[in-house]
Amino acid sequence: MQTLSRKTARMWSRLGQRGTICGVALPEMLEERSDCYILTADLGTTSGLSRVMQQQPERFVNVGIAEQNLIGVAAGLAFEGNVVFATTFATFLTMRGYEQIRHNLGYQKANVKLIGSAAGFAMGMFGNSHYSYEDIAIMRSIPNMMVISPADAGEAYLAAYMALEHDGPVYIRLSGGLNAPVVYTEPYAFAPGRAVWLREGKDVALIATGGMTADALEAAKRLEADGIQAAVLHMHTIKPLDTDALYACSGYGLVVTIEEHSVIGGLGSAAAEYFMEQERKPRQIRIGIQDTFVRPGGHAYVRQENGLDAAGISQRVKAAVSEGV
Amino acid sequence: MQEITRKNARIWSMLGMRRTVGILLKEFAKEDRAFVFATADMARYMGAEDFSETFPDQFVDVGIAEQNLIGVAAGMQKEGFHVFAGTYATFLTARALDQIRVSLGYMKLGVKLIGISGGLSDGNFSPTHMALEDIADMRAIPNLTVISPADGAELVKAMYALRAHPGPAYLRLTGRANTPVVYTQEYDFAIGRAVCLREGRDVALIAAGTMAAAALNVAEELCKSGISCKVMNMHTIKPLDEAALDAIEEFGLAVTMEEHMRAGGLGSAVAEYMAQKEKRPVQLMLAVEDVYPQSAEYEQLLESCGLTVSQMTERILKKCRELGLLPETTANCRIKGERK
Amino acid sequence: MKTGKELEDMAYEMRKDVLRMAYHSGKKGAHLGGSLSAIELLAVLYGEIMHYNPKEPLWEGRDRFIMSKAHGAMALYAALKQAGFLSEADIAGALDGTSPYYEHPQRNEEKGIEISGGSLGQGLSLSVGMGLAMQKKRNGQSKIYVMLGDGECNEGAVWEAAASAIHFGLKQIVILVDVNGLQYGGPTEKILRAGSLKDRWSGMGFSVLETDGHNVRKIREALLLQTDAPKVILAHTVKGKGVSFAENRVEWHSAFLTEALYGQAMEELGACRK
Repeated sequence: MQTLSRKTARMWSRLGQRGTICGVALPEMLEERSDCYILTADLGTTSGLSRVMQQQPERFVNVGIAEQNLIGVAAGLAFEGNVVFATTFATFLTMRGYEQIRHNLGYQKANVKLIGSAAGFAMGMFGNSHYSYEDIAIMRSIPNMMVISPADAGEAYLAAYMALEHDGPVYIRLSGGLNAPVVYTEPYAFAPGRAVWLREGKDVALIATGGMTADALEAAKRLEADGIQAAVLHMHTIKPLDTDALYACSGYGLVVTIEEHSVIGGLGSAAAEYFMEQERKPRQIRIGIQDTFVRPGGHAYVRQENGLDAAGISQRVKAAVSEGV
Repeated sequence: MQEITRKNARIWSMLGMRRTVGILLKEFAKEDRAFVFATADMARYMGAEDFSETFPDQFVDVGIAEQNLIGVAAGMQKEGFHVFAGTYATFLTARALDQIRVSLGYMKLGVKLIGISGGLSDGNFSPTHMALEDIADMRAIPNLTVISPADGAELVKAMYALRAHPGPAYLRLTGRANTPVVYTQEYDFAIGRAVCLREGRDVALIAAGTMAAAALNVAEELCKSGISCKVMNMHTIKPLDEAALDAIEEFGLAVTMEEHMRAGGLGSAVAEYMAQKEKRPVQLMLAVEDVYPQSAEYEQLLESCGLTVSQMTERILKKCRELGLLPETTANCRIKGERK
Repeated sequence: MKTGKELEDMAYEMRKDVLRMAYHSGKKGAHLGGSLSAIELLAVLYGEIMHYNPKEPLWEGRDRFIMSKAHGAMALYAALKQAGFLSEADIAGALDGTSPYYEHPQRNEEKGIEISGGSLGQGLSLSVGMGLAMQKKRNGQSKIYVMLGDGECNEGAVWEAAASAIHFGLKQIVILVDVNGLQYGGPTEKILRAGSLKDRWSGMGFSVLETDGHNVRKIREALLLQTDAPKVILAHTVKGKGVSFAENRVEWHSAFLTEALYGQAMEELGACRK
């Protein structure tokens, strides 16, 4: 396992989250652990698994375009005492094999780690069938699942190693593509279920997950120029939720959850479920996809169209803050 | 056309929701030559065992193949048929989730899904047959309407409403045979409009499915402690009746009650909407607490999940105590003109 | 090697246990039909073919049995009693609402239950994963016996799994299809006729054998036969076998055994043995 440094952060950001997990972390794990397997549904090279396929063909399994079977085979391997990583596009991984995930990972707690790549709109021109914005909602509803959405490639690397050590099913939701923004450049404590405060600010708390965290930080900078002090909390683990960190938000008048996911069932809902049960709580705005299939386009374009970039976020927050005053 | 009368309500209750569906399916088939009932080997379980003989041209059984069920249903709908597709809620929604997303959500083909044994009612078959994530899953997909009727009468109402509704929908059936009766006479039912079953001023109970009947009983119990409860039957979980929720802004406590996982269900939908408000009550979410319960009979399961009337009453009382909502006097919990 | 008579005796005991479990499960009813059709298959597997050790249930070299058609749970419990995994008390309490032995089995390797079931079409995929694990672990000893229903073969997921079993060359997998001809809604031929089951499996590359699923000698023969490709045994059976009122009756997929019917069924079983 490597440590996070300026150099690795720069290198990995070029590979993106998927490239870092599939091309760096997984090959290392296969070297380190003889009980580790990598599975995919016809997305070997596409997922950046070439190194795995060349170096460890013995413990690489491609089941073909058959996601339900992918989950079943992964669980079967896990039941024989192995730790199994299964990866393909987030939407097919979580939706096509959903009942298999429920049955084998949720109900029977198979030690399988799901790596869902290109979540949100990262598939760009492939369109809505390849977009994934229900995956957090559906994975979160299954008992025993851990749901993680890293902010950048470095965190994706740490999350994959955490998943390797964690005894139980994990879903890691990967955002973005190549040349992803860097959020962390030095070693920090990554622990599942423990959110990270990336910025302080007294006026509003931005709670973001996945690739949106970098945009939240950028939005916070823009808001500062408008005289609004925004704190940024990075909620990399959506389940189990860091309720201590949310509790720390209860003093704010306004919190804003930000995710490249539907406003139904995702981070925003998880936070709302927590806040609504508390006596003292902030008002909450959910930024995300407004329960609709979107007009497809390049990743940056779709995010911009749906208010999911720094400009969109800062505008929305500014409006909400002035409304509240 | 079925009418809500005391007698019919009794019959539907005896049959339970899943067999009441069969009556409507046959009526729809008779009235509309383009109506099709599609199933994955579950016709008999839905009170439609003779459907295939009476309406052979309007019946499709794809066998135990839920993914294909959705594909076939959507294909027929696309060609102008009016398809209701039914099987076990958990297999229908979970096994075929991607197919539902693409054909119903994305393409907006107006197939009506009927999920039988929603919640815990068939839990004696083990957690594989409990549908506890279905609301979360269906709600996450754009363009789907999600309805969970309170009793047999409301199921009938919902079936008529859905027949006239152009878009895709998921109808979640709860309870077993001898479902508690909520409605014994005609009332106004509209998709997306909650029904106030009891007026009150301290605590709002928001329920869907057979939990609505339980909520009425809880309200009656809480009344003994002087707590005045409003009971809302939120039969449509999506789209949510936001106006009805606006009306409870001033309440001290809102309680959501459901046979569903805590994450993503009715409670979550209410929380999403209320969290953005300046003024809103504290919410208590009564749901299955993110575990697969051990297989047991329905009543035992409700108890192990803390969802019996007495358990829910206790949990609400405790919350009221914490929030200082307990009235000094136990008199006067009823609101004038309320339904009894 | 056990004699045919010994295996038949074992099947007889298992049938009685299944009836007892069904009777004790009470008014909600139990999956009698699909349990009774699978009895001889399980008797031969557990009575003679499979290698296992209830004192060391997690023994790596054991053969695995995967009950994919999990509504046959009672037959599995009865077999696990014969095999020494379950006790008489386990059987006496099974399906009573509080026992861990449910209508559909829940994974409990200590007790010989390899996987949880209840959602059809998943067992073969799991078997492929387990088979791959064995292949990689150089465990050339263990076999995986997976039991499917013919109705279950409606599920698309079965065929994804079947393709991968062939593709990965998993000869340790032996598929037994309990072809009782009925599923919940009626005859499988009527619900979803999809050509010959034999041709479907053999077309994918399996070695397919057909046998009488109630004849212990023939079942043994089929199980012992060496084949070039992974083996599928299409075992022709009778749903509800051994109980006249349940045989080939779709309503006995899952039904309530009254005291009178229970008495009659037990009597019929006894009479057959004389």
